[in-house]
Amino acid sequence: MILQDGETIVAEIRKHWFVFVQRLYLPVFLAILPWIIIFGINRSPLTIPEMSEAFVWIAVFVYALWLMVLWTGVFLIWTDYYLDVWIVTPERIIDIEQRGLFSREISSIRFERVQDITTEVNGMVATMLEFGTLHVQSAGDSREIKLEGARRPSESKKILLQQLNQVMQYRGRGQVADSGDADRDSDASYRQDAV
Amino acid sequence: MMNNADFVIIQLLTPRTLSGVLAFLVLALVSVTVVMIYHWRQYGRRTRPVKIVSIVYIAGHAALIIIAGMALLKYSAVV
Repeated sequence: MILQDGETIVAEIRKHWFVFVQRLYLPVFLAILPWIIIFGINRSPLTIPEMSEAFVWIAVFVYALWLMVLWTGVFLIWTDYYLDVWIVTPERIIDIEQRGLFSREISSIRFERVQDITTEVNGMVATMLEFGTLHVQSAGDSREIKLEGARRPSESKKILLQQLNQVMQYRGRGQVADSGDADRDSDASYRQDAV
Repeated sequence: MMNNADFVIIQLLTPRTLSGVLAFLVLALVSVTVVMIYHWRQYGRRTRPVKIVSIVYIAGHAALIIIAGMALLKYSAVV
């Protein structure tokens, strides 16, 4: 669907798992919140009447429902994390950005239009776990795509540079035959807001 | 022993009402699940992580539904 006929995948650049784990703090906190509240009430001077068996089962029931909602939330975060990806093909970089469940943006930059590839690693954790931000700048309209929290950004940059070099070598050899073709297939970008 | 608070809770939260709540939530989650797994398969292209995550997700929900159902049965038996 995303790839053109006959187009092959050279590499997939994804986000680091730490980016996903980092975003789990809210569901984890909400999962333990009822325990914190119960613990707080038990420690406070407020005395609550001794819980009957019925109340205990109601509490278990409500907590199970609460966890179901949070469980779904965790996997919505995973969806957002896993479906944000760069697909590298011999001709272009396809940037897929998932936003929630019903919105995704797909844009691509052809290698012949790539002007600059930058990696950015900030912080101790990012340095130790090898993740960072990848920026690719395109020529002409000065458009930029970026993938935050990309795993092994320097290796990804190497792959991109290799592809870029191959495209440049190919274009160098076939320049007479292909003159003017570079701009015909300029950057394709479209937005898809559907299921 | 039942106290006043328990009495109020039991009057409001009958097993029937709670079953309705559970059914509603399960239906809502099933619809979200269908969309989510469709996305994973469509755009994640049925890779190994997608398969593993689908199994973990469904297994987690199944376990929680069973726990909620059992708690509801126990509650029904008590009231």
